[in-house]
Order: sequence, then C-alpha cells, then structure tokens
Amino acid sequence: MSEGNQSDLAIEAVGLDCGYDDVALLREVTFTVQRGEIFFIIGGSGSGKSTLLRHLLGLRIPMAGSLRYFGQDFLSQDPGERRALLRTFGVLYQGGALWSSLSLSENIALPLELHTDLSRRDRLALASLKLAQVGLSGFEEFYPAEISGGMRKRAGLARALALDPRIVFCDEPSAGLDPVTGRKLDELVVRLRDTLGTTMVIVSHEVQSILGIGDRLIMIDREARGIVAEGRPRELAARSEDARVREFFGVPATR
Amino acid sequence: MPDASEEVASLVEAQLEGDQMSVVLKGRWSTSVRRPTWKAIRGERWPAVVRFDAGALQGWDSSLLLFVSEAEAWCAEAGARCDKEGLDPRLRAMLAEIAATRAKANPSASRPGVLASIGIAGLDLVERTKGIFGFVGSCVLGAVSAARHPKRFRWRDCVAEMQQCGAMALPIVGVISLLVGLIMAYQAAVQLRQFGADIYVADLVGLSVVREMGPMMAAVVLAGRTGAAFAATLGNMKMNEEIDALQTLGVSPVEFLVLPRMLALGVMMPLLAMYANLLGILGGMYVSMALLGIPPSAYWIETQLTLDLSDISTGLIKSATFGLLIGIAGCLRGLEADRSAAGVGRAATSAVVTGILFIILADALYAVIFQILGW
Repeated sequence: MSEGNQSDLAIEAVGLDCGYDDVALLREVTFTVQRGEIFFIIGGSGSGKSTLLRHLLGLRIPMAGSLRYFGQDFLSQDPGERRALLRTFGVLYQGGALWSSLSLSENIALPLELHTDLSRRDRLALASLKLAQVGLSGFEEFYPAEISGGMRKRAGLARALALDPRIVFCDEPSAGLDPVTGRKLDELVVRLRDTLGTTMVIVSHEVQSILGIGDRLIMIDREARGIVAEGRPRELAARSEDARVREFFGVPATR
Repeated sequence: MPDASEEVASLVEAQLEGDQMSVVLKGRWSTSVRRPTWKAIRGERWPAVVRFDAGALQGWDSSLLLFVSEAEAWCAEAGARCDKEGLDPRLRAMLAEIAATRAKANPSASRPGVLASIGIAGLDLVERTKGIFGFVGSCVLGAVSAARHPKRFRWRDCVAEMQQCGAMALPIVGVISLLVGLIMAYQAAVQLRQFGADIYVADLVGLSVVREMGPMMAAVVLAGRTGAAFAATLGNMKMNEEIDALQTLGVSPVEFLVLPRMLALGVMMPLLAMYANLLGILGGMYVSMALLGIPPSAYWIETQLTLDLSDISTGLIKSATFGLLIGIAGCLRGLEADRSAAGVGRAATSAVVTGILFIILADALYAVIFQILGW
C-alpha cells in the first residue's frame, strides 16, 4: 500500500499485440496509467476491450510488445515472480463471479486464506471490515444468490480489495445495473481510490460513468485494430474531431 | 528466526504514562507477517486515552487496519478515548467509512437460531410435500390438455428423450442386470445344491428377477442416469430464465418440458425392464451351466414353467410406475432448484435420492397390493 516506489507509472504498455490463435485483434497498443488514476478502456461491443483486459491480467500472453507494472516487467518474469505481481492485482468480474457455495465473508476470506498467514478469526474480521468498506455491513452470512445484482458487484469489489491490491481491474462494473445503483458503484470506486490510493482500470461503455469519474481513457476500435483516441474523457467528448469518438459519446457529427 | 514476542516487539510498542497509553507503530505491517493483537498489547492495563503514533511506520496494509479496529472496538467498550491523529489519513478515512456503514447496518441481516432453524426446516418439509402433490396435480392437468390437443405435444422432444433414457441406457442396464442374475444364481446354487434341488435355481432366479430385480435395477440405474440429468437440465434452464421465457409466452413448462420427459420414461422403463429380465435370466443360466452342469435348454424350460403372465405383467406395471416417479422426482427438483451453480448441483443430487426413495416406497406398496389381489 505505501511500499515500493520504483515508478510513478502503474502500467506501461508498449506495442502490445493482442489476439487469439495468432490472429491479432489489436495491434501496437501503447498506453500508460498513472498511480492512483481512474483509467477507462472504452469501445463498442466486440471492439476487443475484454481481450485487452485478459492480456493485461496475464490470462493470455500478448504476441508482441512489453508490459510493465510499477516499473517491473510483467511478461519476461519467471512464473513465481509473476504470481507475486498478480497478488497485487484485484479483479472485479462482470457478474461479480462470487463463489455461490460460500457466504459473502467466506468469499472474501478465501483469497486471504490462500495468500496470507492470518488466523481464521482475523480473516473473517477483515472480511467484515472489507464488506463494511463497500457498504455491505451486516450481510456477512448471506449467500450470493440471496442478494441483488448491485450488491453482488459491491461484494465482488470487496473481494477484489481483499489482498490490498495496488491495481483493481473492473470489467463492465455497471453493466446490468440501474442508473442509480450504477452511479453509487461509481462513487464507491472514487471513494476507494481516494482512501486506498488504488489505481483503477475500468473496462466500460457506460458514457455516464466514463464522463463522471474517469481521469483518462483510451478508446479502442475493432476496425482500426487498436487505440483510436486517448485523453481526458470530458475533453475528448467536447473537442474530439474523430467521428468514432463523437459517435460513442453521442455528440452529433460536425460534417 | 526471531521468536513471536520479538517479532511483535518490532511492530508495536505500548507505554502507559498516567492514564494515557501511547502506542508506537513501527516496521512493516503486512498480512503475510504475524501481527500483534490488541488484547496482547494492552495486557491488563486500563488506559483512559489511547494515542497512536505512526511516525516510525515503514509500510502497512489490512493487518494494521485489523489491529486499529480492534483497539477502537475496545475503546468504545471500555469508554476510553481513541486518538488516531497520528495515523495515516487514508487509514483514518477507511476507519471512518467502516464505522459509518456499520452504524446503519441492516439489522434484519442476521441468521436464525437453532430452534428457529428447526422450525424453518419443518415448514420447508411441509411446503416441499405440498409441492410434490401440486406438481403431480399439474402433471395430470397437463396430460389431460395434451390428450385433447395432441398436436401441441412435443413429440420430437419426447422421441429424443426416449433415445437418451432408453436406447442409450441399454449397455449399463444390461451389464448390471446380467451381473445381478449371476450373483443371485450363484448364491442360490450354493444353498440349493445341499438339497439336491439344483434345477430350482431357475425358478428362484426367474421369479425374483422378473417380479423384483429386473424392474428395480433398471429403475435405479435410470434414477441415477436420467433423473439427475432431468434435474440438471431443468435447473439450468431455470437459472437461465428459459422457464420464465416459456411462461411469458403462455406455455406451461409442465406441458412443454415435463410431460415429454415423463412419457419417454413411462414408455421406455417397461421395455428396459423386459431387457433387464432377459439378461438377468441369461446370467442365471450361465452360472447354472458352469457351476451346476445344468444344460441351458433344461434351465430355459424350467424358467418357462415357473413364470406365468401375471409375474411378468406385475413387473412391467411396476416399472412403468417407476418410470413416472423418476420423471416426477427429476423434473420437480429441477424446477424448484435455486438459481445458482450450487443449487443445480443440489437439485441433481436430490432428484436421485428422491427418485430412489419413491421407487422403494412404490415397490413396497405394490408388494402389498399384489399380495391382496393374489397376482
């Protein structure tokens, strides 16, 4: 949390080629993410946002390029050190991906059990603290099937925070939520960034939350097979000349 | 390696001056290192003020959060003041947020006690029993309406299910029936040989296979094979909102999904039972030939003399009932499954258990009925 000061950049991606079975869906993806930034990866459906996320998480190995987290090379490391780096990531999956046979507090205690030496009592106490952080105090003994979709997302976020990650990746956090619940989740993300100083990388196509909480963004496009825009959301929405960006933000085309 | 107290001493030091305890945090706090507990640090001292000092702290994570929240909880209980000014502002913000959401925690979010759990389980049992009767009722109503409009019936699904639960089950039903016939003949041979009554192995195996073991073995295999598959399929469909989609179309899931499966099982079970009967008798024949030297033709004639139509038909009536019961258990459990991966798993397990229980109960009931009727 307050250790290690190797670099001010949380993520440095240079010339990443991402794809499946030797077919690159994205070429030459280059971007950087500052520490403590709320960074959006945006694009239409099927543009390769999730593909890029899978590559950033090491679930897939990029075909070319280099990827550094906090100044440490991610791709050329040996598996042991890469696992150590992965431990500093938290991931919020699209549906929350809570384990349905475990209660909420057990869901959060499981990563702690696998990766720390905390006692069982401490794990459950910490799980309860993390749930309180996302506003789910009192729901420790509930099972994922017993709570609403928005609460599942928040519980998923609490689980992502279990190991004090330095970067939290969120895959479509507000997908399937009503605008009010979605906005509350956005507020939660900002608050967690402010209190924990965690870097947030969010894959999304919700214009509301991108404009509302995003510090910076990259937009990727299927046709262009890469990044078509980079910058601050409000500036891009207001001033971009790119038709694809204007269309995404719902700004009428100038010509 | 330093012992525990040394490790702890390198993380925190607490000194009591008057009624004020200053807690000096130092070193690197991490969840992967053993942390001190507030109870151990406080010991038997009762400070009125607890003051944290994080000047010498090199790094921290959730383990420090745990420690400070323990201290905070103790202070609140003992009426002491907790001075956190010396802590990292981010940690203070976190603690404040946690305190805020805990204050408005949902009080209804608590688990029932032991007595309440027993009561809930009892009511649940009543509900489930009601559910079974209600389901049987809606199956009957569905069958009536399907008989009136045979064109609406899903014949295609029914035939596909027949292949799945009938033809595809031939190998496993065959192997099990053959082995059961072998085992029974072997046991009978050992006993009957003592009386020189070797040939009656055929009577014993023939009667018990045709009246009991053939239908029963086929049904148990299908309860495990097909009942579980029905429950898993329907449970998944429910999770995927496919059942809801049917209902909004005005289609009853019972007519659309359950009846074709029940009919398939009801028709295929007697056929499978006949096949099981034949293989069971063949197993007995083989043992008699190999162990007792009875020629197959003699065995076959003895079997024919023993068995009459009522033996075979009672077995077949039973097996048709078993088929319907397995269908009811599988489909019912699938339709009432929880909408989660674990729920579907539980539904499949429960379908097998319920199916086998139903089979045994029905078998016992039939034994009494056939006894009274003299069949």
